Amino acid sequence: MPSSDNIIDFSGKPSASPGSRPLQDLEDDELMLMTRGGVEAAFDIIARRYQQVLFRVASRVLGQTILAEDAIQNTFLALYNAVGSYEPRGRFKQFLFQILINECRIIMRSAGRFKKLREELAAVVQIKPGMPDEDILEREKNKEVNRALSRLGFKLRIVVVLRFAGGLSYSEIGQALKIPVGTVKSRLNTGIVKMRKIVKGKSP
Amino acid sequence: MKCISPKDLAAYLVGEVTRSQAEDIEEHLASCGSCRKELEGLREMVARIKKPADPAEERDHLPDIRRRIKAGDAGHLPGRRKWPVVAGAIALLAILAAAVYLLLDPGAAEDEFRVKSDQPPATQQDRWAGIRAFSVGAAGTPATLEDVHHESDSLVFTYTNLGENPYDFLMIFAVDGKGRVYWFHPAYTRTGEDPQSIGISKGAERIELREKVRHEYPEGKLWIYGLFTNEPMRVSSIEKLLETTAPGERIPLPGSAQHILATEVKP
Repeated sequence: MPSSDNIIDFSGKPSASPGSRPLQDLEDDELMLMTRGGVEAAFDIIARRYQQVLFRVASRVLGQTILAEDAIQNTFLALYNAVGSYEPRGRFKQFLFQILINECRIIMRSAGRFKKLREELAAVVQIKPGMPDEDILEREKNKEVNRALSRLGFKLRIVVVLRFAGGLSYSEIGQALKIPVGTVKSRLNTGIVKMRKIVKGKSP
Repeated sequence: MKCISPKDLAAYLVGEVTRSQAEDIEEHLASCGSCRKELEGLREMVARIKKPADPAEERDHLPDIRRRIKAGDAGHLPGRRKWPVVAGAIALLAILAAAVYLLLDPGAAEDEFRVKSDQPPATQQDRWAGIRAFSVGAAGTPATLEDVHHESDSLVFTYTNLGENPYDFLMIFAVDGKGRVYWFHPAYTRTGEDPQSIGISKGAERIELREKVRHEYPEGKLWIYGLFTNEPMRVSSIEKLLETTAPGERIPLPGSAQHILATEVKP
């Protein structure tokens, strides 16, 4: 048992003392411990390191930018609140994505918002005046992908999105979702096949 | 050779085929325009998921996050959880090295792990996850919480998280006879905030949560819940479930382990 509060223990990494390196070069676990120690800038580095990938995942899972923004801000607030109890075991990414997934679930559970989300996904692509043809086509295709994702069901959708938009490995996905790697692979395969069918218009 | 099934094509795309399967697929692709087109369609679809939905909408959220942290708790120190003001009655938060005392606690024998629960473990999972509460009086020495909790005393906790399927998250809170809820972990300081469960260590025994907390409770029965889950839970969702749960009863939350300690608050 530790005998005092908030000990920042970098034992095992004597040559990599965080004090001797710029914050940007520190590992996630080290940054979390530094945040716990009161170095607020360490938390900023974590937020900037992960905000884009979290946004990509959340926007594909939720289908709406505004909901994705809610999800990632809530995720970082929850992370900040968890700093004191965080266990640095080299699984920061899985821990962070677990929080994000939970935030996405909370947002989706809100029935009104979910309905709005489905309506949004079904809506016509927004075209601004003077928008180049390529951009219009790009938006059409994006909408198509989001529509297919929204029809997958959460279990398949989250695996597909974590793998491709989040860039997580099979084992990281398994840990974040608490499912075996074999299940991750089979859900990914089923997800891809179903999406393709939807995109090709073979499935409603 | 007949055309490749969508399932096999998807497996080939993500590299989940054996070398010989890959060779068969490639041989077929060389002579089948329809399968090549199908593979190209899959590749394009996956590439699209990898790209941002709308790059123009990717922005820096840090200023908003910082603003929300500040608005939620201006004086918050990371790593030190916060405690609710229940009817203006929060009394004391003292972060001390309680660990030193817990080490010396004579009541902390391993086989006493569940001695304070007023219920037998309801599920097999409950058997392996639990909390211990220690009351800290004026002398500052923690002692295992007994049937009586003196209202001037503070509480500190340890948790144990063993078994084949240990949990990831924990909440500790108390409910009085009138159903009022007092939060320990996570802290809950302001109306409108909605913090979630704290992350815990797996396969761990008697891990301390160092903060010492005192609430003001009315005299009478008090139940302290240790709620172990695999998903982080929101304070608001638990309070909602508690509205329909009699004080001291198990919360209807499938997949959770619950350890409920009963005590009585006296002056």
